[in-house]
Amino acid sequence: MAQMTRRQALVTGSALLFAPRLAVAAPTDTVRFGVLYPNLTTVIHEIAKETGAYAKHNLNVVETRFKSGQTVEGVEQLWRGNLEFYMGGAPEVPRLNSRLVESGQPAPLAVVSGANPGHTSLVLSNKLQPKTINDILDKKLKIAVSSPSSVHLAFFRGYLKTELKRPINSIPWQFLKVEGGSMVPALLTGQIDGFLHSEPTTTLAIVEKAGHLFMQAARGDMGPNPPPATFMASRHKFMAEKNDVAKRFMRAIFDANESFKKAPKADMVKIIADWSGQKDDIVEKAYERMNPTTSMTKAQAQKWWDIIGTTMVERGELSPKLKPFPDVFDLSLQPL
Amino acid sequence: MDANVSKHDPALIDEPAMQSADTLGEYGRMRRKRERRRKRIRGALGILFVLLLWQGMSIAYGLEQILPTPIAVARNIFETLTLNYSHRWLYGANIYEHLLSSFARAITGFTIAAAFAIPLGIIVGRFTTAREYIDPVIRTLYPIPGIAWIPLAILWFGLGNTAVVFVVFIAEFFPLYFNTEAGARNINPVLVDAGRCFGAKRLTLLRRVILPASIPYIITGMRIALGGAWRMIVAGEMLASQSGIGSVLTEARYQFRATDLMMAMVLISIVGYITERLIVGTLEKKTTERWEVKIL
Repeated sequence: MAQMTRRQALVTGSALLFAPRLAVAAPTDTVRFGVLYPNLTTVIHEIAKETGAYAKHNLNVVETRFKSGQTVEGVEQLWRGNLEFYMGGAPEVPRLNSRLVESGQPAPLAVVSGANPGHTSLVLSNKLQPKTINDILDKKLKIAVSSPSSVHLAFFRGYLKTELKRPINSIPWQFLKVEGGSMVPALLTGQIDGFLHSEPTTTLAIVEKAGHLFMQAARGDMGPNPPPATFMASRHKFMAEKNDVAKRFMRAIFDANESFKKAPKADMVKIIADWSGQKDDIVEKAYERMNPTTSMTKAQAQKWWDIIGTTMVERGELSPKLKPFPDVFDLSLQPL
Repeated sequence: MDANVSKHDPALIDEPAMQSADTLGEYGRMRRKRERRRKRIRGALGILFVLLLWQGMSIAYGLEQILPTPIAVARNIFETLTLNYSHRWLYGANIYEHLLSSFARAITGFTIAAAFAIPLGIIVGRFTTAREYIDPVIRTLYPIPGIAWIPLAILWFGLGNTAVVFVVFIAEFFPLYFNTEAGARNINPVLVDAGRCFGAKRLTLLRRVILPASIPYIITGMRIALGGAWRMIVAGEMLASQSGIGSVLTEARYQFRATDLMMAMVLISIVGYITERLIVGTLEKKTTERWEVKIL
């Protein structure tokens, strides 16, 4: 009888040891996830990676990074089938669905969850110290927004309409298109009177003494329970074909939510600072105004639609044919 | 020869030669007319082929959302130009105001660039000492693409017109400068010597010899510069402006309105073509054609 070599014995032993584990392990599924980077809105993905949430659900998540302000590109890639999930600015998904619905086709994308990581803020120059919003509504102010289609502008438009009963075209403000990174320098140099954006731009403006936080959605300044400003979206086709994978992905995100809630602040500050490209002290100062957890109830989705969606319909950005359920939201993947 | 006989005496005109010259002239005119017609027909057929291919592909592959049909784009252009929109206009001011903003920026940048680049090109082209000092500086700056100046322009001039005009100026300066410089440098020395023989001093020489002889190069530079201006206008307005056709393009992208995107692109092409014909074409007629100068 042939003698077993030391090498053969080692291999056989290892195989015997790991065989039961290999037999029960589910195959790892790959999910292509598009995220804004560096950006605060998608921190939950980094938390999921760092805490092993994806691995726990047998997912190999391949991330595709999009620069801030490139949500259109991300949503296009999702639509074209190059991604399974995308997380970024909110209005782009309903806009794309609207174009398809207008042409008689079904909506291809679904908003599966949402978040409000940085909250909409109205930061004003230090020269302006109004007591209430009504003190400045009739002044000719130059307010920066990241684009005319910005979610923060859409939200502010909705707030004016629902809370103050004033359409945006009744106020003489000039909304200037300025990139998020240029808002603080523009405010410092007096080129603008304020901006509508989210964290960490708000904290940067405060730290640099460029302006002061006048209104913030998180504090309820723009109405109670502000709707989500960031959406996580997927394709209906993928959700139907690989429903189990899609659900596991959302469970991983919810695990990351729990990790964020339980983790010490110092650990999270480091993760957020690394992912958003901000200094630790800025993140620390902004921390109370940040919440990267991602989940959305039907009531929140409806609120988004009532405040922002309907204003977008009135403005002509969305087709009146578009219905919030099922043309925009499908929250069935969330383990709620 | 009889001094009283005029050179134009009808008796001296050779009738058959005259007739044959007329026939030749007529033949030449007919030939040129035929060639023009042939060119137009072939050009139209080429465009028609591309349009049919575009329409066919768009429908056959169901690409209406990313490649709208030419009919849809044409309809959109018509509606936009007549301000009779079938869907809501989301781009602020009407299209004429946007086009006017872009046109004003293009022309301002072009005028400033021409005011700097043409005199500098002539100086550098004609004076070796100036060339040795200035040319290396310009050649060092030349490889920097116009779009790379945009962040700096925003930093220097803030958001708005000045930043965009500045990047247009930068983009237009180089083709104008290099063409003028080449024109001034390559003037046939015989022309300059002849001018001097006739007693032309520096300014007269510049006005009567150097400038006319450089004109074909300058016109070519203008043609290239104006094309570049429209490219740069769009890039500048996409980043640093609230108005203009570039901002319409960006916003159409945010709205996923491919038809509006293509409408803006076609309008840029039309306005760019008209601008080029109006400005460069007119200048060409008033200079090159009048003075009968051409690049040798």
